[in-house]
Amino acid sequence: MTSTVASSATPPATPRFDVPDFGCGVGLRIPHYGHIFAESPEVDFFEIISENFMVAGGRPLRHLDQVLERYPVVQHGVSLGIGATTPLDWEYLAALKKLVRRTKTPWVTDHLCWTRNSHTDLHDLLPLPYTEDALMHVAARVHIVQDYLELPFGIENVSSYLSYAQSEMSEWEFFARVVEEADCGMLLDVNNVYVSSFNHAFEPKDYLDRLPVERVLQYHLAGHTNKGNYILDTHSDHVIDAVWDLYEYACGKTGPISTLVEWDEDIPELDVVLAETEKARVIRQRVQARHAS
Amino acid sequence: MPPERTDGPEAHAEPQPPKQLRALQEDLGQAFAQFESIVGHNDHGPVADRWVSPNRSMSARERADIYREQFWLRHRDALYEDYPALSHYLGDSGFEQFCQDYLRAHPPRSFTLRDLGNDTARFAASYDGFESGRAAAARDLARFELAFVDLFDGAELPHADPEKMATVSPEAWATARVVLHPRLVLFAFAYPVHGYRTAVRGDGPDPERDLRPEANWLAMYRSHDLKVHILPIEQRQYVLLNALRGDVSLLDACEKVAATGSDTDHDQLGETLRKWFHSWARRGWIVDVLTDASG
Ligand SMILES: [Fe+2]
Repeated sequence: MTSTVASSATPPATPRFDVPDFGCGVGLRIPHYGHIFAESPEVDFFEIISENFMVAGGRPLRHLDQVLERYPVVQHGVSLGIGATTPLDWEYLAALKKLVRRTKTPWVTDHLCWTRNSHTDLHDLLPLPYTEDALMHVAARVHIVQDYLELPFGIENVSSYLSYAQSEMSEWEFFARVVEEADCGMLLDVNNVYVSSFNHAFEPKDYLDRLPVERVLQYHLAGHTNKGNYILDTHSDHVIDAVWDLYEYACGKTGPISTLVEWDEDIPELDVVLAETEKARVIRQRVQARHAS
Repeated sequence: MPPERTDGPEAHAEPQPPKQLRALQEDLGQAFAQFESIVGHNDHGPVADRWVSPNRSMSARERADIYREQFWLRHRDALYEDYPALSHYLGDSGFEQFCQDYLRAHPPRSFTLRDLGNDTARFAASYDGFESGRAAAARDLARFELAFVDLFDGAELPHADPEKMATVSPEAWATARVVLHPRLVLFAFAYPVHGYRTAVRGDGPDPERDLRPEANWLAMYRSHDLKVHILPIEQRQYVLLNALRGDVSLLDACEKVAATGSDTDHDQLGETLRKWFHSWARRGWIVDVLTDASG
């Protein structure tokens, strides 16, 4: 990876939300259970996909409890559908809150997207049109969810493969205004910024420059798949150098914040994923050293 | 920072969704959740043109079609994962046709993909799209594999109190009702689905796609350590367990079994039943014994 990244001139922002910096963690995935339970490897924290553990019982919850005995766990959801126009699913929220009590996650995140309409749950992170109406709709729903969960809630920017004819503003303006309006946190997925910058031809640093960085609760990093005329957010590979550069640039603005490497397809040995977190750690230290000097 | 509010939905006035946003999601959601390319589609093509912008290298329809394709791949892969034996038996093209027809009839409506196959066994039971001669085994496989998903992460349930069972007097056993574990699943199959699934999932070479009829009975259950087990049982055990599940007395249930056996069986039935109940209790299949005394 390259290390010649222009840092931002301003010192890191003080996070607004009183959440800990857990260091550099990985997503908890089933193929790694054997390694984790047999060897208790050193991992700063695990992030779980909330929905995988919103079940009545059985082995998933037993495994989760084993992980909770040894590691901090943060919760990340994929099915809330904060931007959907169907009513909020209160059964879902009740199950989420129950799980929050189990994991003691200091914050909860999900995506800035819609996931369902009145017919179908699409199980996808579908982008929203960047309109004033959509912005107010999402912000109002975030308020409700955050109040109900009684925890800091963070919204993650998604990768997108289309844009809407109706959009009235840029993605970063929409993202920034939603979190300000909703008074919530951000999960900044640096790979998603990169993927969308390729798919929609914008300058990714412009995006990062315009975010209220004091609201960032957590970072995501991941690999992707370049299909030629667009990039698909597959989480199936190493983080690419351009994304590491963006991460360093963003860290210069936010200071050290819990950072998570996601790997969901063609999942390699845990050590390979942990090696990615070590790269993140080196970058964080470099940024800190720069600001200290 | 979040204000203190623990109350439920009634306390939270949800905003009315913006009309245009709702129309966009209804229109595009339908275009994404189907299996024909949006690019040349008579209905969904114009929908994409209305909502989606083209970019330098892709038309609005091509961009929308990325999401449609992802919808299909995601749900197809989830079904492949939960139905390894059924998919092997039907072959890729047969299984993928089954998946599309199933998803058309039962579009996903749960937040979790875990529930995606909830209706597969019912759907397969009346599905007429199976390759000729494959329907019966496919239906057995669908029932069998769905049960795994259900049993894997169901709630914990109370286990039997062995002391209580020991206190049931010999006279009381005749009229007693035996309560089986709600998560004990009993199957009567016409095809050897268990061995087939084990072979498909094993490290060895994949089995032939063919399955020859062979009547068999299975019990599927979850042990204290939360592992899912499958145990072959005799037809008579199946009859007895099913009768017990039907809430008849132990005596009536045993008479049903006696009616199925030969004279020799009949002579030995008492001893056989004792052994069966002993092993069922040990496995946690029996969670209670209700006698007149226990109400
Ligand atoms: Fe992410």
